[in-house]
Amino acid sequence: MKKIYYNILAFLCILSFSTGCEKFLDKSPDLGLDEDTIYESYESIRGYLDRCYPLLERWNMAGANQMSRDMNPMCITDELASSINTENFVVNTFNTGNWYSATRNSNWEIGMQGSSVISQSYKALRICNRILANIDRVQNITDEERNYILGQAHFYRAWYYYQLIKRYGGMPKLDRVFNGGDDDIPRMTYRQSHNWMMEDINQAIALLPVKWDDANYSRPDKAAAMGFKAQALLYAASPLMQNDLASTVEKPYDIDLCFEAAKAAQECLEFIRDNDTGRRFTTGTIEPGTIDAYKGIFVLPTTTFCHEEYLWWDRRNMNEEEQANTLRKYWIWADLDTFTGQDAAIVGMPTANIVAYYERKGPDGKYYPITDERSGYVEGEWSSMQNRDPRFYNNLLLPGTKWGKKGQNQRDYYISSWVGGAGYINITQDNNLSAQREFTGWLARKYTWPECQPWEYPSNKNRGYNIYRVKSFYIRVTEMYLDYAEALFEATKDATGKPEGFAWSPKEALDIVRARVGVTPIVDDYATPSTFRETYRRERTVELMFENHRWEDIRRWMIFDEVFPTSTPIKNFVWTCDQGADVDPADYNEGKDLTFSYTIVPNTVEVRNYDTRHYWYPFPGAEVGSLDNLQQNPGW
Amino acid sequence: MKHDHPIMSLVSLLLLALLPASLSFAQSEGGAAGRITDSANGEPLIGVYVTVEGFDNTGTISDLEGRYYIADQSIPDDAVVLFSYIGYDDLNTTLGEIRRNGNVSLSQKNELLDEVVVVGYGVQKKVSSVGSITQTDGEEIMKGGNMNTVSEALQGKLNGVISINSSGQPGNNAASIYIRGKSSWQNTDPLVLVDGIERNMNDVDFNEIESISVLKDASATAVYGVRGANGVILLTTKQGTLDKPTVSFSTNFGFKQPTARLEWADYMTSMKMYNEAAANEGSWGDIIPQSTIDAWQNAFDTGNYGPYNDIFPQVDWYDEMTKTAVSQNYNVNINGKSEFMRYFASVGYQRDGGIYNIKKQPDFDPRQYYSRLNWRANFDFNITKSTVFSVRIAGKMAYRNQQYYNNIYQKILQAPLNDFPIKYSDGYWGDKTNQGYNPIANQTSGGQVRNKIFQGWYDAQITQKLDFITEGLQAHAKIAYNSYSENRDRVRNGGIWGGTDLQQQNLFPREFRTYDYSSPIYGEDGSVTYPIIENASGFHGNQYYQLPVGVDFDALQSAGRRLYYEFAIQYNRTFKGHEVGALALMNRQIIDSKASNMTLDFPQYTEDWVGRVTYNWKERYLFEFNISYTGSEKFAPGKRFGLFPSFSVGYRLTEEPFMQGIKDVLSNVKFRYSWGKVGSDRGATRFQYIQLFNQEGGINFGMDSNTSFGPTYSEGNIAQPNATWETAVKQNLGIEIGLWKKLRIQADLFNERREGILLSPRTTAAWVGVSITAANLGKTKNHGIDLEVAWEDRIGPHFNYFANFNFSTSENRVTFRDDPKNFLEHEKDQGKPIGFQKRYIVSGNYQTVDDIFNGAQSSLDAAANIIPGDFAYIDFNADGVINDKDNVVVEQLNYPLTTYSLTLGFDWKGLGFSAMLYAPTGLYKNGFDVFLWDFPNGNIQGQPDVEKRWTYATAGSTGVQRPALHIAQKHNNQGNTYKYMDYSYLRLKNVEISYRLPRKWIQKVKMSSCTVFANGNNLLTWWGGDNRVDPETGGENVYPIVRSYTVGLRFSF
Repeated sequence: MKKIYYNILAFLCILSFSTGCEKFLDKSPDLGLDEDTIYESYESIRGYLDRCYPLLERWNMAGANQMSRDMNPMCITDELASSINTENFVVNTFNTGNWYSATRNSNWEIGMQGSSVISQSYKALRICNRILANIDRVQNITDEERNYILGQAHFYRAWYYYQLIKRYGGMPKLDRVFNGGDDDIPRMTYRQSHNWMMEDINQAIALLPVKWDDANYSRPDKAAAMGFKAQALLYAASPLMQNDLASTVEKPYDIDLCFEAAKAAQECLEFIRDNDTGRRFTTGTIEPGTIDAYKGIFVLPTTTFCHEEYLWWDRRNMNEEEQANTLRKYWIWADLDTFTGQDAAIVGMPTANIVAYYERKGPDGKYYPITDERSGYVEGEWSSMQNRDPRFYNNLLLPGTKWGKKGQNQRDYYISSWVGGAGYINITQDNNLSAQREFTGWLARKYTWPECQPWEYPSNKNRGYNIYRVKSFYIRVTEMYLDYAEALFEATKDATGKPEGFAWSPKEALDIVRARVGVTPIVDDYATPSTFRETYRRERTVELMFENHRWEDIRRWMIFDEVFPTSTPIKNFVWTCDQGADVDPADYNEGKDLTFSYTIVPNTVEVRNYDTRHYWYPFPGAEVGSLDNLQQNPGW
Repeated sequence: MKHDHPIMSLVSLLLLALLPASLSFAQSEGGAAGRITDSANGEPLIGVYVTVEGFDNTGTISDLEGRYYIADQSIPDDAVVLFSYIGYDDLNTTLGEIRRNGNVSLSQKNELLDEVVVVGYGVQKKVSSVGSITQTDGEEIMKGGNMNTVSEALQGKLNGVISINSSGQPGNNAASIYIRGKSSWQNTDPLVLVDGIERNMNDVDFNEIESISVLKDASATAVYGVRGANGVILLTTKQGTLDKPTVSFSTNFGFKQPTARLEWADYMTSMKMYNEAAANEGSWGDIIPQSTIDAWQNAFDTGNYGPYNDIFPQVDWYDEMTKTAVSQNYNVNINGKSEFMRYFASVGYQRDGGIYNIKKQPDFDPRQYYSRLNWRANFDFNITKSTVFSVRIAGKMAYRNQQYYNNIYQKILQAPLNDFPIKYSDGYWGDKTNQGYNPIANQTSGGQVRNKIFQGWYDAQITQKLDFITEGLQAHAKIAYNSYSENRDRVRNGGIWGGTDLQQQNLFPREFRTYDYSSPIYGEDGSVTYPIIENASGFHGNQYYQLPVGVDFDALQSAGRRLYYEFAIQYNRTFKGHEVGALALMNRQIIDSKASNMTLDFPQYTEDWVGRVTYNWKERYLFEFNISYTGSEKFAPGKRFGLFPSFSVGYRLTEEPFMQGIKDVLSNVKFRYSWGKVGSDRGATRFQYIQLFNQEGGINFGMDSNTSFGPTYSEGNIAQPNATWETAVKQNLGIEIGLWKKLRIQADLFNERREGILLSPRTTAAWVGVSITAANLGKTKNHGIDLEVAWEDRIGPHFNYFANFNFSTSENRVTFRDDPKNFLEHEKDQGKPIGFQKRYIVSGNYQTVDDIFNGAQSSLDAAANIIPGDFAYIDFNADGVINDKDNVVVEQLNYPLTTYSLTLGFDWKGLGFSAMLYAPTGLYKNGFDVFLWDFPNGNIQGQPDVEKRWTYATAGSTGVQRPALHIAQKHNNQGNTYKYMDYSYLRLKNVEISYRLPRKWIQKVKMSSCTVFANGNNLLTWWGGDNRVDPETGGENVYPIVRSYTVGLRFSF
């Protein structure tokens, strides 16, 4: 008996010793993948490169946009006011100008913590730099495939570097894979950074295909790179970008870069005209209130992922729930959405400020800015809301508009944004809104449609949210005309002249954009050297409204003082229904016979506390503290 | 069942007191008489108490020659006589026996010789142990009252162990523990072993616990090497020890209720104050119309209000939602030994109810409870004279049941008292227009979640004496297996799984009605009603709630298993005063775990090689050397294994021959010193030494259709091939003093330097673009003192009492944390305590508008409307602006580093009493907004002290006052010193009263012992803050801390 135990004991001892002392721990999961894996073939290097794509900013997707989580990122400009302040970052940190806030600690970069545009860009730059440095290690690749990879890598490196310099100003030359310890390198000026980026853009234009095959469509192609080039040049020519690292002061446009930018915009337009790229300037019926050709740029049929007008966009599909959330959190009036949860009360409400940019057709049939008495605009009168630029009706919702159905019984719904209207009461009595925010009197329409509401339409859940697709897009063809007009005008200070080699005068370029939506050409008074700057900026604001351009534009133009003259610069409409507050619009020819008057009052809670230092974002305190060569932006 | 094994005798000894010297003596004629001597040397014993059970007046004390005399001749022969004397074992005999021969001898009980402590991989005699170890036993733990986790019960019981309990939810109330302060910002949880295997001690039935031993210094923990740096807790379960098979039953029944109760200002005051706040902010639109106020005043005057009043709802949600919880415990166990085997087996059942007043629903049960069944069987078989085979089988099965929506307490706090009734008269739930603000509706209609937890522990060990090789040698082999699983059932109204947020919130219809109080409608009978303005019936009128309930059944949440095996050789022998001990041991573990996604994680492996040598000469000069060679598979080969040595020396002054003369006074003096190195791999993530590239999903491109391109590859974090464990170098200097065998003082000074704490580099540029894995960069230091003073004495033969005072404190500093080099000193972590806090310093209230404009301007919240009465913050860097640079480090920490505990007790003829007071100090926390500021969550609800706000009338008084009223706090609610409050407290942690029934009563029913007891837990709390908050609570959204009262019964046969 005893012997057996000894034998077992001895056996176990031997067993344990025989496996060796440390070998027992020498196990790790078969992770398999190392750096060489990505150099095995075209497919593998492409698989590495493609991780750049998901790092694109999805500004038109709630929960994913890198500025804030649930709030429309345009609530930092004069385009939208936010209706809720649970999103502390935008309301309490960004708009108050307290960008270096201790509440999120000074190590925080601007944007949504951990996945801001800035940190996403750093990730993409690392991918591109690794590919550009190691492309020769890829084994099974044809020359054509190699060009595809390199073309995209140059494009992405430029695009993501551009995201940084737009926000920070000049940056170090981030042309290699850093590993820590090798990263303390000096900043360049914006111009130097731009020049380095242009090398990448030009490489991309040279290497990228004219058109990808159907399966690869939506990867960056030559037209995307050309559009990007025009925009990048215009930015580099802009007043803010003329500054060095030491100070931020108002400077004039750079004439040479302006000419280059205009040229680049023209080349892009000519390129898509002359080649089969799948891109074109949208034309077709413009009939506000329907999904016409113009509206169709912003709400796509569910059969497609892109629009011919887009030059560079985020193709990724939002699933039903993501799109429903986006629409509910960004664009749909919470009253229609019946307050199903805190998120649905978050609305980006258009401001009275931005509404004022739309021209009105005067009695003479021509369109004038509303400040011009020929426009027939009289503040306070309902007629002032008639005969506005058709884009007004495409982008905004007026009180009394019949708009979809509400409730389980699907009764007709009317926008009741006047004082005492049912929607007004609901919105202003809602705790999330009334406690801290104010209703501006306006609702956006650009990315929604009447069926877009939570009730079942016609049968399945969320169906109404998903009849069309909405996208985040970055550059569209129309912008080329706007870029062209701005660049050429700022180069020549002549709105109507057409220098040698240029296809249109600045005014002609804008008139193309206006003509598409049925707005008459710019009247001569507004095409003079002293008035045209305001004209092209107004046109750009209206045409690119709610497309995430405004913030960059007011910064590069350095017009904080003009746009945000006071600490609460945003204004509200207070509507009064002439037929009485408790009117039922159904009784008035489906609301069409209702009339309203309004007053414009300051919004007392919307701050835009920006001054000169806010033209550039601050670097995180810890980064400046760690790196001897990283010069903080002026004023921070 | 008295004093049959070491731990029981330890307890008894704590109760045993020493006799005061007495010179009185008695006659020695007639009755019973005799002489009492020391069994060892035959010397007479003077002052021995002699008592006859049941005959209180017949007691006597032995005289100078050791003689005693019991005069009363009427006492029957079978009466029990007890001889008790300081430092000697009690002697029980019958009167008949001493009538025959009255001479008795008592044997000296050297408590120090008998007492043992559980140490890593063994036990040691307390006298010759040189580690810093504190120990308690199962009986002490059970005095904690109605608790169900061991970690909770440890609070205040063990010196140097800080246990923080933050929730009282049944089945979810484990406390977090740290030992001797904090030495790392990484995980500071100690290593917890149950019967030598890493296991969760929390759900062990208290009746199964033999002892809990806490190893604090490196001498004790070095054997655990890479896992020992945060200290080690060893829980040992009971073994069969009793000669006679003894069956014990215990049961208790308890009630629990929250320690803190909610209350608010009354609604009339709240409305008045709300209007003041609206006026302060210039929010004229928020002013409550006088007609509304008048209507409510009338409602209150006429009693026309209540929780189900449609128009004037007033709901005390706290009252409606809470009740007294009931808990029950049952345990039966058997304990015995024979020549062939020793056995202990136990089965326990516990059911712990919740304090929320939730009703069972037809389709599901949303009530909160935790029910647990524990079982254990410990057997030791003497297979041969030199071979012992031991088997331990234990486990538990538990159900934790609760309502579907969490954060009930937060919902109670957020629910407005006067906005809507619980239900409208037509049966609809009341609610706000958005979110589920009616906690009753939320809970009763939301659904049910039930977690099912199973745990099985299986050990087998064979121990072989190898005296035939050389005397004192033995070897053992052990194998252990743990398994664990947790499954979850969920039931929801509406049957929607994977539905949108939208649908999930529409599970039951709710309504929100507002009334126009300005237009009363007078009925003919004089009644008053008001027109309804609006019925925001957003949640009403959809069909989801009409669907049948949906069930998600038996979803695996987590599972795990652990295989452990160990081989050891031990040697213990004494040669002429030289006591030598040695141990060599190796063990390995394979740990599998599985998360809810059903993928089995790659197993974890550990391997330890341990050696120990102990030596003492006549228990006077003590030496111990420990070494372990342990590894962690978290690190790269070559960085994996480390040697962790420790040595310690001890000196017992009182064992010196020249001290023997004063041993009655100075019974024990022992000095100890230890030095050792230990590690901690807790903060490390596995396999970060491998530079990973991960395969990820495809990305879609294509114009009108999706074409997926993939797989794609992403780069992992930058690997740290050199990363390894944290290293702690610990020193401990201890002194133990015993005086008059009554007073015991033990003090330990400790000092720790920790290096190589894993830390992601903080000085790299963001454009590196990936995270850099943590490297061994951080350094800290920690030092402190543990002090224990115990007094035990006896007054008369029957009254024993004791007092035990514990104090421990520590202090720590970060000595390196890769701070950005250009940071100013106050911006760096270095030189500050671990987990330091930053706050804006409130210097007072602005008294006038001039103060606001002349002082430093705040840029903290530009939307804030600063008015007189708001806080003035100190402009720390004097730049004229209050911004993040004025957010400065404050001294106070948000975890306690100093604790006091005092335990008092007595025993008088079977009546026992003990009470423990516990006080952690120097603990600060942010006050909860909901209790700090009026009108929380937009509700028109003032705090009880709303009228103590700053007003112009109180302007000019010094000090920081409650600021002026605002509807929403902006400026005053920054992270400031006003909010950062002292949460130190003193608590009557537990009290137990017990009565051991006299033997002669219970003998008739053949019981060997029977005790009834009542105890209470968290009975009284003193602290400086809001009495609506328990100072220990973990937050406003957690289950409240409870007070409990328990009555129970223990008996054995």
